[in-house]
Amino acid sequence: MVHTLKQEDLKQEADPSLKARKFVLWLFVVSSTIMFGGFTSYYIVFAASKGKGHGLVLPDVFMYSTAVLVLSSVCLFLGAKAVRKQNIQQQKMFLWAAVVLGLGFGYLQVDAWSALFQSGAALVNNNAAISIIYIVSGMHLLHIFGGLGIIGNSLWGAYTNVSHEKAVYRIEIASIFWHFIDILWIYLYVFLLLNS
Amino acid sequence: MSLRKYISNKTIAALAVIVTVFANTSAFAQEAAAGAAAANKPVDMFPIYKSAAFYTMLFLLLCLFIAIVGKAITVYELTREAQDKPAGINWNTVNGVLFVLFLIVGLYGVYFEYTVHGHMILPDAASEHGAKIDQMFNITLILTTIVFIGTHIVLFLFSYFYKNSGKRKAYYYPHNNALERIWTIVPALVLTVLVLMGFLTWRSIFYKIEDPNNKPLSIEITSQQFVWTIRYPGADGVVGLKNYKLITGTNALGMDFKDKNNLDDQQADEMVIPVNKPVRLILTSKDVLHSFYMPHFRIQLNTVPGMTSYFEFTPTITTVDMQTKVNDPAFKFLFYCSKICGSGHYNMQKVVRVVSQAEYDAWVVKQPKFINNDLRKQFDLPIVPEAGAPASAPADSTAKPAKDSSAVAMNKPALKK
Amino acid sequence: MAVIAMGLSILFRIQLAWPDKSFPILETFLGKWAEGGRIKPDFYLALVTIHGTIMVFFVLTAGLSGTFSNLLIPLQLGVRDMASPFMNMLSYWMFFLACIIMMSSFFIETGPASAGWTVYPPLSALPKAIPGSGLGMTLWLASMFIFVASQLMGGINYVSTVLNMRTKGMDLWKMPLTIWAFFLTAILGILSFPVLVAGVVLLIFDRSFGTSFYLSDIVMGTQVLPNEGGSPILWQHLFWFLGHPEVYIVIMPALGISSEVISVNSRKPIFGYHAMVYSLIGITILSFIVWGHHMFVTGMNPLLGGVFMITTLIIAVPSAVKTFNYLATLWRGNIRFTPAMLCAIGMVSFFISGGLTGIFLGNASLDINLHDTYFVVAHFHLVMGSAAIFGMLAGVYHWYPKMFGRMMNAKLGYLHFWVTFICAYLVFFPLHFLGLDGVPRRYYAFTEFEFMQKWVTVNIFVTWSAIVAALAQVAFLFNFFYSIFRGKKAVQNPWESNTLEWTTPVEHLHGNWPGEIPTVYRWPYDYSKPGAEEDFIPQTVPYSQTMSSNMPHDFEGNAESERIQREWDAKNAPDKADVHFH
Repeated sequence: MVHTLKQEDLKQEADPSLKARKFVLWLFVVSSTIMFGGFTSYYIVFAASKGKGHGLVLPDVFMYSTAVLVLSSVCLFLGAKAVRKQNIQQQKMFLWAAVVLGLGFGYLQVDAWSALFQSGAALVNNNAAISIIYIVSGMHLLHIFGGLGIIGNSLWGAYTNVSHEKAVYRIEIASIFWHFIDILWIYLYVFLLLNS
Repeated sequence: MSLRKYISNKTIAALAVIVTVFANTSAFAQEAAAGAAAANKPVDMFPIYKSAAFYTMLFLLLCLFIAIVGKAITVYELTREAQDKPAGINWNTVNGVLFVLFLIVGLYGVYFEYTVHGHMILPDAASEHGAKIDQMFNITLILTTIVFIGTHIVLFLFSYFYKNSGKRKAYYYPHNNALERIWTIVPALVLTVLVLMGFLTWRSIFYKIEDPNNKPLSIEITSQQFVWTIRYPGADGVVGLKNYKLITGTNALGMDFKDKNNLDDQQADEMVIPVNKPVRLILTSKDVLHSFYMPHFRIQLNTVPGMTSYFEFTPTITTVDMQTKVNDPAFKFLFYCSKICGSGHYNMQKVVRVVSQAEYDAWVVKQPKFINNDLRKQFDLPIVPEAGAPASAPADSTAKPAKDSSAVAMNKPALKK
Repeated sequence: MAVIAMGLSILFRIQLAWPDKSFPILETFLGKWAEGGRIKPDFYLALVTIHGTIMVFFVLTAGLSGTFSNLLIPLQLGVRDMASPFMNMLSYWMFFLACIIMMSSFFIETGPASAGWTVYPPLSALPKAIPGSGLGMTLWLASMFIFVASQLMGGINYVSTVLNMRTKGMDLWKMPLTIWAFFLTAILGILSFPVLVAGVVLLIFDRSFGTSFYLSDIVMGTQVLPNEGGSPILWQHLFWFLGHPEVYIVIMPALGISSEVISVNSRKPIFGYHAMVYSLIGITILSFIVWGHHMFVTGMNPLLGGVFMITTLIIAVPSAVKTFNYLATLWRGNIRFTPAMLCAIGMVSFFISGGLTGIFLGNASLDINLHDTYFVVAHFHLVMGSAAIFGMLAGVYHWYPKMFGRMMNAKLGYLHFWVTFICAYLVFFPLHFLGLDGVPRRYYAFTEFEFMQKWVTVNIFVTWSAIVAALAQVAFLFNFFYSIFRGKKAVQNPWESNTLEWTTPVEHLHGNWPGEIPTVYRWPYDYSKPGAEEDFIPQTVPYSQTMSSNMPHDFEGNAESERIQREWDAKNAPDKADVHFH
């Protein structure tokens, strides 16, 4: 027998669930960090045992893409501020900007790959340290697409006029995730720069 | 209420009795049928035993039997209950007694295992470090056996003595810090001792100080699916360089014959080593992971493509001595593969023979060299006359560039893929 | 899945017992993999691999922490539903998909993955080395990828639920040990599974795109492969960084379940609750720094081997503490032998036996000779196979009334336990001695070595024991399914247990509790408390209702409560006041 609970019962308890779900995201952040930790530790052990890193000058495009991603993060931050002020117009503008910049980042990453490829450092390479540049940036790009989806969800909320509480929740989720992948990329980039 | 319960119990009991009787008769009928079938065709007994259908039927019969026993117990318990007597079978007692029985039989079983199967294991180690490992093993075995037997006696006897009697209340005893500290610290101390001993043993195995007067004999072992190749260093005592890119049909190890050390390297079908002389194994692999496992000497190390590993040991018992020791004239030392490596993994062995230095010296000179005229040609080396065929020096010099390119050409198709 | 994996193990046990005999019936089932009624070597390895994979990941990981976490975390903590029910559902369906992909590899031309459940490259990377490394391996990797995603989503959900959604009064130190175990298991999963993902991604690239993360200097026959610079050892590092915590992911829920079951059925508080929790935490932390003990003989730096040996043997200490605490819990108990209790005691027995053999293997120098032999097989089948399975069975027997509202038949349970318990020992105990004789694992047949011939009779014995053990599971399965429909109707709290799940109605309802979620006042192990009428006091009973049984430490230093209690004692039970306060 499946009874359904009275609605007010559920409403009263809605808060811990939102909090818990936000926590879920934090845990995801942790596990994703660990995964990239796995890749970078592969790199460290590999480089240590072979006595060589990727030995490349990373293409400048990576620098531009990093800037674009940071900018996108800033937009999202402003967007989040707008949500709290319930300024739907600004919210839409900043979120769109964040999305566009995110897409731009994706494009630049692909561009960086082709630059790498043309410089002779292909994915299929006898130096696994070079291959791993592709792997980490590729896995990171997957996260970017996931993040775009989450921002999209928040943006969708702006168009469908969800409740203020929900909108704040969505933008918070998007912010945590997007800032995380922003920082993650900076970490990866610096890591790759330092370990050439 | 109680009357109704009584009646319903009665009905159930009656039903159960009927079911039991029916099941019994049908079981008998089946057995009779089986018996009849067996009696009619005594010649065909064997295939029947072999057929899966027979076993299935046997199992179903067993299930039926269990079902009957189960029903009988249920009926018995229900009648007891119906007559308001205490429950017929005290399952707590039954299980408690079973635990004690299990303890007794189990202890005997452990004794049996230790004595019977324990005598079927490897003989004493035939190497210096192996003796240390054996000693370490025995200490660990004694300690763990004490703990194993002790904890199990406690576990099963507690289960028996403190089974539910319905009269007692359990003793409320949530914690005792002193006790807990004791059984944290004692295992920790015991383990510290074990760790220290293990660490020292481990160090003595892998960090050896070379004795300049007793230099180890280097032997290179290369694994591939599903054979081992043994390479002896030859007179110079040095195993020559090799490069996997040079591997061809004729040069199975990819030895680089530009390296002088390779010229006298010998191959062997079995590993023959002089007793009491240190041996340094050089382990490599051509294709996948294998594991060089030489249990009588307590040696195991993986062979990894792209990586060379080393293991140094000193054999202490010759094959002949071991044969008398284990009282088996057919006894052989072996090494084989212990890391899953493909379909032939289960049969990848070579014989090891430990002999006296004199026997070794006599044996080793008879082993063939890797180098032959085909390889000499390939590496632009002077051809050595074989079986009276004179080598021509001029041909050699002219062949120089051509042969070089042919060697490259031979490798090219391989490199391309 | 467990049944399938068990079936596979029976298949290869048959091969080991009767290497020369042919079983025409096998050909009917397996077709070309068992031509002439004999299993082929390749297929044998595939059986071993898939048996290991299914058992470790799909049965013991998903079956133990997956099922019981989902059942018990909300019920024992007083939560309506998990933090994110949607992710939970996604996790379930992804698990289902992973199962299907894994099983589908049996129906492809080249057969399932067959490089062992640890899928060490290069064997797993080169289809030329073994047919199973073709499409079968690709399916294996895909399946594992999805499985890990599923486990991660599940684990994240559990942790978040435990930390954020406990009911009023349920602070961390009032949680049952089951929840502690699931919680720490989930943390282990979150921290270790991503590393496996990283490893798997690299292996996928090696296999499908020609990169050289794990491959180097390989020649198949005379064909030189282009890969250079990689190292197969790195896979092992990444794999075992997950793989060792994975072992504890498997055993910790079993330990948690046993703690609960033993305490309930001994009618005693679990001995040393705090020590139990701390040892679980200790195991959790230590399990991350012991992975190297799987790699003592890979040729890695011997210094590392020494370090890993130290950490590995240290982890035996919390395990020993747990064992002794179980024994102390039984001491002067009032033990009810329910099938769940039997299984829990069996679990403790296996945990001891298997744990002790671990001391041999954790010792790097002994491991030289025991690595990859049957000793290892015997060790992990006892400690992580049998112990974990018995923990799982204890859980099923114990919480069956909660799952289906009916009771399982106890007598069939006894039969099932005793046959399985005895046979498990008969199967795995002799295998130690094979290992001590230097018989390597994953050998298709013992026919090629003279010294192994003597073990063939032992193998026959082991195989028969395994078959009997497998048949005993029929009793369990029958009991399980029969009881769903025909079992005796359960009462609300059939085991007279303290924990919250038994305060919910027998009928399932969405949200678990019909009215308000109960509030928790005390720890979950107040069994046979002196002064109390019943021999159990549920967590929902406030101390004000049990004045006769309260003890000073119950109030955790709350002066006001202690004063009230003292006054009450002085009035109603002067002797008790004497005992406790003077």
